[in-house]
Amino acid sequence: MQTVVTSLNCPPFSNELRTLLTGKQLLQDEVLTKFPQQVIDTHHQNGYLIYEPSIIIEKHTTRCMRCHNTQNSLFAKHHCARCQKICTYCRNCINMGKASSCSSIVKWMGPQKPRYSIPTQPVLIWTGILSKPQQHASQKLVQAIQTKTSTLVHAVCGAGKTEMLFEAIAYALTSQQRICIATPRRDVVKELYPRLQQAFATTKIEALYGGSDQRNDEAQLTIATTHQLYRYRHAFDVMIIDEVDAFPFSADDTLMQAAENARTPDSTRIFVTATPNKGMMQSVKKGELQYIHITARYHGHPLPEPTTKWIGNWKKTLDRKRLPCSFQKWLEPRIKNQRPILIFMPDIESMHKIESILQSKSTTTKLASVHAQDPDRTHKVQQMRNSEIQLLLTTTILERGVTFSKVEVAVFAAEKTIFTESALVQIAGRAGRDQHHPTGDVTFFHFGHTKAIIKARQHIQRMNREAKKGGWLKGDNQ
Amino acid sequence: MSHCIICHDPMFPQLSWRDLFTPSIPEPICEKCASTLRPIDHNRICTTCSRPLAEKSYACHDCITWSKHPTYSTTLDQNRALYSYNDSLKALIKRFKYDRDYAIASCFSKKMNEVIKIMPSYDILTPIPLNEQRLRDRSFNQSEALLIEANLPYELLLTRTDDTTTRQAKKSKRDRHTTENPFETAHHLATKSILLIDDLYTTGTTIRHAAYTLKQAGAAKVSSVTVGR
Repeated sequence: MQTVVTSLNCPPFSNELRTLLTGKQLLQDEVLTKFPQQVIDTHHQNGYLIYEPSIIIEKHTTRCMRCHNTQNSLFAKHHCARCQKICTYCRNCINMGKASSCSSIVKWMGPQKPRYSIPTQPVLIWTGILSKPQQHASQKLVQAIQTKTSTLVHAVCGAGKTEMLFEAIAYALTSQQRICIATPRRDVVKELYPRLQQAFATTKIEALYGGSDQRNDEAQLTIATTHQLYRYRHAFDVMIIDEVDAFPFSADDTLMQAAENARTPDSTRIFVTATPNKGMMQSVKKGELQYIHITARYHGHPLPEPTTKWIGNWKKTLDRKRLPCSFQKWLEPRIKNQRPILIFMPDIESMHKIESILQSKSTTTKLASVHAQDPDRTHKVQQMRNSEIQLLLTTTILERGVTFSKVEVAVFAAEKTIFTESALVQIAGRAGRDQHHPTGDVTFFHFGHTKAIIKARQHIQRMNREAKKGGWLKGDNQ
Repeated sequence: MSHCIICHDPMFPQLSWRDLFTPSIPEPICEKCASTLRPIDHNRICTTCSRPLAEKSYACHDCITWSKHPTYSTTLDQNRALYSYNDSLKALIKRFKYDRDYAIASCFSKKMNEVIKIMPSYDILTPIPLNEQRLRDRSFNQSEALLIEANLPYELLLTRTDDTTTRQAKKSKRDRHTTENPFETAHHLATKSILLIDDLYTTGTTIRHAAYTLKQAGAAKVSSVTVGR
């Protein structure tokens, strides 16, 4: 693999270029935005870096060497004005730069970067107190990094997952390891960055997502969306993947490959989720993954258990510009009592229908709707947090990672296939997260029970039962 | 099975009996993506620049200003556009030009052919060129790509020699109106009528500069078709 050249009798090299390229597989175009061609050329002549093709065309398959895409429909070709030939390029990772037949991947082959220096003490500045189950998980995770054991942390929504990771991250930092926390969701990256920077004030941390300005090539701790991992190769000694079952990570094999590719072969993997999928649980059964299960929330109160209510053929009702009866009955007292309300909708079209019905019924209630393509999404969520909006309609994009104090949650048309078991469990997990208001109503409004609805309810009930058995709920001790 | 060029979702075309005899050309994009684009209603536009208006009008505010311009007043006969410029088209053009996703060009092929058919007759189709540096950076000319993917024969009549430091999209309206004409042509186009192709009509400056150069070379009439307006 990489050869270490001793410094004597060797031509000089740019330390910044080495820092940029260490553990990475950048496209030539990406390097060119930071270093002139001439600098890259001299390093190449001196053997400090090598070029590798980014697209490999074999007999029957084309392969992108950056994102490992092999799906023919995700490649295209055109006459290229640079090389004057027909170039094939990858459309799967194009929003991270264009990998094409005539653009190479640049890799560092020169002297390796010295190990990270240990951050100045105290590495971890955090004065909070971990709950009993958090403490248990925290110790296990430190051991996992010591013994390099891959681990799945299955923790209920609102268990305080980030805090559980603190000790383990601190241990990895002091043992000079490079750490990555990856998550499929950019909102999570944005939320984690300030929290971690505060807890690890002496550590260099970077946050990577499309359009991020918190890049720092010298960072020892990287927080990134999983897409950003296409740019890395054998970089991280500890790879933590948060919300491992969330879209698009769960649906896109190339992202899983990217995560595998970005870590060093003998690194520690830690997966964190409230709703592990079958594949994950099978790996646990086979003994490939250590399993840490947290069934209680950090505040020690049980998870709100969802109730279900029939709303009949809601499509017809909405077309008549009316709300289903039971839904209206649920909604009215809550609007009157000024409770913040979060309503999950199956699609944008019916969301807009309900929005206009609600607006015509009550002009005083402040309401808004958000979906993935909404440019005002962040702003509206913030307004909801500040209680400037009382009622927020949303598609499944807000199923994870958001906390609104005192919120009451409804799922409209819960029978739709978009509401899978894990989506419903995550949605129910939005309620009662605040330790001062640990309860909150969760209701699934449906036109017929589905397996997902039944399983989601059972899932939550099971968690509460197990938490009670383990003696982790507040009421048990008193 | 085909995939949507924009969102990559698989598409299942609705088969009908007619397909047995005359196989239909598959749509390049799915219905969901198509619904985010706003095709221009050619009965409710400014007939000079194709800006969508409440009702058909001979010239919009901007075109009246252009008609008083000392040099460029009568250069452009008319412009027609495929779609009105909204957030979805903006994102799509960004992906096409700046992310350099060439395949996006084929989303517009069908509509491009339809709109070119309603244009008055022309002799030569020609794309707005890029200067050499930009062409090398981008690896293809987006206007030319539109023509290639739409299977339309064209000639390269123009060359471009402006500076590469600022993109047109980064300039203010004022900058655009006062920039010098960057286009040149080595062709003699006596009495020919030309149809120009570009990705966007924003202020109309680029198109009018190109049209002016073509008219200087003898062209009788210059019209244009753009994807966005």
